[in-house]
Amino acid sequence: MAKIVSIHSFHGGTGKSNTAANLAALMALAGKRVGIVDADVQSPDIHVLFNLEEDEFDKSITDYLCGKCAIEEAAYDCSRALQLDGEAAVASAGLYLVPSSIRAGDIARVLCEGYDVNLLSDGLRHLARCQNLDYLLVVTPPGLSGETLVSITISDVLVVILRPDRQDYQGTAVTVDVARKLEVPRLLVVVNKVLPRYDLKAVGQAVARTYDAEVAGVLPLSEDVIGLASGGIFALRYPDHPLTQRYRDIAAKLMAV
Amino acid sequence: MRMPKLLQKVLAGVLVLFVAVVVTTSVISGWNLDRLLREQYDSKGAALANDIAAASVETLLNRDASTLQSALDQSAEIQGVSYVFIVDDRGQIVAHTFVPSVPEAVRSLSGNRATTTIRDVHVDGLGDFADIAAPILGGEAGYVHVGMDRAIMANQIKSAIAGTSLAILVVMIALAAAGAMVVIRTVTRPILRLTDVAQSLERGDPYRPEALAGLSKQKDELGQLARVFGDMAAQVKARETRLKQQVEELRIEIDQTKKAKQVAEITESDYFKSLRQKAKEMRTVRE
Ligand SMILES: Nc1ncnc2c1ncn2[C@@H]1O[C@H](COP(=O)(O)OP(=O)(O)OP(=O)(O)O)[C@@H](O)[C@H]1O
Ligand SMILES: [Mg+2]
Repeated sequence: MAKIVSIHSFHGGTGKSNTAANLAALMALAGKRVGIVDADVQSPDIHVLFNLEEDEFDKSITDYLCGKCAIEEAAYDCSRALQLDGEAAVASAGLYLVPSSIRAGDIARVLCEGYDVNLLSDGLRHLARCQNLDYLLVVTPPGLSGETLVSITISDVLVVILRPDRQDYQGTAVTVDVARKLEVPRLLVVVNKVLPRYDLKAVGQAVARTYDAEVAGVLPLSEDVIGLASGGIFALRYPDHPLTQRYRDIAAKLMAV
Repeated sequence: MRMPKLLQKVLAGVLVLFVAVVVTTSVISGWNLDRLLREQYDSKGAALANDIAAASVETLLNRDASTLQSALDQSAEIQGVSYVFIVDDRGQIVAHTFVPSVPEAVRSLSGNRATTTIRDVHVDGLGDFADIAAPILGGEAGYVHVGMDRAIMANQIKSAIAGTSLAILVVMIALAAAGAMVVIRTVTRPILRLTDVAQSLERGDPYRPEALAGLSKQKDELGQLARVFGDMAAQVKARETRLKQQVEELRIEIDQTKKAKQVAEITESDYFKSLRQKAKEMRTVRE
């Protein structure tokens, strides 16, 4: 049965989308069948990272949640991204993206109506079964809105991303506590955008101590990520980059679940 | 202790240099020695030839060559003298010290009536000689020829040069090695010390200025290097501590009461309670 992994951060711009896309790509490269759902309906962006043009998709998670389509209709095969750099993907591997709608009307509608736990949960399970997925990564909206809580509820693993920034500390603490109340089976913390001159290990230890949680990775702020300007998946573009190695370590931890 | 690499290099260089020096000085002194010995031998031979010429006038005029033989034999005993022979006014060899017979190359040798002449001759089977011809009675009664052995000279030169050159080479190399050792020690020791300190910094050990205290006082380039290095190490360490402090400043502060309130706001809603219920159900279903 597919493992559902929610990728969450209390604040926007923390690096959820980038981290999720990289992890999904690396897991697929490792031979897994992976789905990635952009449930951050307020700021849809993962399709950009996968170079899925806006006119290339007309169905989205939003459509599914509004009952306008079946979830598998909104799942776009992105395996081609894996072959971009000539790295032969494992034959059985797969990468499917369920994008979020960029149409303002759809966004507003989902935002005000909210969505049902069962609807999201059933949809994800159905998609996992349809595509025979091993992992389903769900990128949640920031904050602790109903959508996020639903996402956490149905997750096997919750990855909480924070920056070493006071904006993120308190909110992350609340998220961690709430997730524990929801008895999420595994909670991992990822620290992103850490100034490279910091001792990354010490940062990881400080965060682990503070939240009494496992830190799955500490990712430095990287000029190369900024340089890529969301023009692709970093780990595919720079397979030998130290940051990619760090993404790979996190992916390995997820796949060990 | 392993020989420092620097010392090995310097020693190799010194060895090449000294061998070159000793070879050139040997060649020059050999050449000088050859000249000096030649002069000495030649004048010795000329004196001998003149003596014999003076002494043999009488006997030659009396055509009593046999008495000359013993005198010649005695002369040939002198060190460096290879042969002596006398040619009479008709060009006949009347007495000689060759055993058993006079070689052809020697027969044709002539002299000068006015003066004693010296010329180099090569005699097959006997070797190289300086043939010194002294006229007897201005050549009226013939000539005395004395052959000085060049081979003896060459051997003397060789043994003299070889012995001293070798001795000089050994002494020079020993002195140079000792000197180089002292100089290199004074250079490599401090460098090794700096290397040690640098490695300990690399490992992240704290920087102890005492480790370079003596060296930093040295009033030469090494002392300067040690001082610069020490300053650098202190700065690097200071920056490191600053960074560490920054990371420590990263100590994440969380307002616990505020957090409890924020968590409660979420978790105490009915919606949340139903989610919790849902989560429980789902997990039991999956198990
Ligand atoms: N490690 C990093 N180093 C440098 N830049 C990064 C790093 N991670 C993410 N970024 C940049 O930060 C920006 C936000 O990243 P991303 O879109 O992944 O975050 P997000 O949490 O999904 O944001 P949003 O809430 O807006 O969807 C992007 O421009 C991205 O390129
Ligand atoms: Mg995003």
